[in-house]
Amino acid sequence: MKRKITINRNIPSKNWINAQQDFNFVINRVNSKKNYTSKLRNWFSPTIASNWITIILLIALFN
Amino acid sequence: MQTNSRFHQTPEQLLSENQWVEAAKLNPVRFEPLYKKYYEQIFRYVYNRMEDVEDALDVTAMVFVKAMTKLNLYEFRGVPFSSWLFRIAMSEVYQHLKDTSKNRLVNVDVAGMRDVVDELNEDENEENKQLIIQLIGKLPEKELQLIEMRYFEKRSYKEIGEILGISENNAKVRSFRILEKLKREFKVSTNPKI
Repeated sequence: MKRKITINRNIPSKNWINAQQDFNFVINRVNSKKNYTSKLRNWFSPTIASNWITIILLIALFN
Repeated sequence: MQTNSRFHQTPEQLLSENQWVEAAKLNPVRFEPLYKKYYEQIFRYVYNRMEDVEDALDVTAMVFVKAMTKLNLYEFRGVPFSSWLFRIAMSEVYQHLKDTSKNRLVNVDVAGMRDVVDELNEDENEENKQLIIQLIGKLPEKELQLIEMRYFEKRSYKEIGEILGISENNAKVRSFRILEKLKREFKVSTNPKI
């Protein structure tokens, strides 16, 4: 990782930083991640797993 | 050396903060007070290590997304919640810099530099300062982290220890060793015959 040294860099003001807060953005990202994980989990749940087995058996039967 | 004491909290404050954390574990929306409380501190930490302000904003948001999605793994250990956030921030910064191949910024604070020169018992002239800045810039990442948190961000050893997951005493000892190393390297650079 290359480094760059700066001296006394200007740091944005407290007001500017706080104005950038967007909790909705964060919470939406969290929810979409959770939905994705739960969908993924559903696909491997016992009910869905039995569907998978049926599909695999059907494919095997038709081959 | 004067340190930034914003980090320290009374046991009552720590417990009440932990109640926010427990509430947020049950309902992510309840994370908002923690987000508001620590947004600025995390942004400053990230921004001090990244060149681009937009990148710093993105990484700051990702720190909170990660903190919220992994909140169930958080365990209260009697230290401010922010030490956990700083650890996430540290790893997110490195990940982002690695993914984008961008420069890792080292923001040298002139007042902090004065303290480093003072600790090394050297004259505070421009030439010495430049040499010390160069030497600091060449330190391994773990050593650089400690020096920048201590001298350029004015964190106490207690806070540094909590962020790095080491004891306060260990942070002090490590810092002392790094300064000794800088001292030796400074002598070698100014007098190559040594």
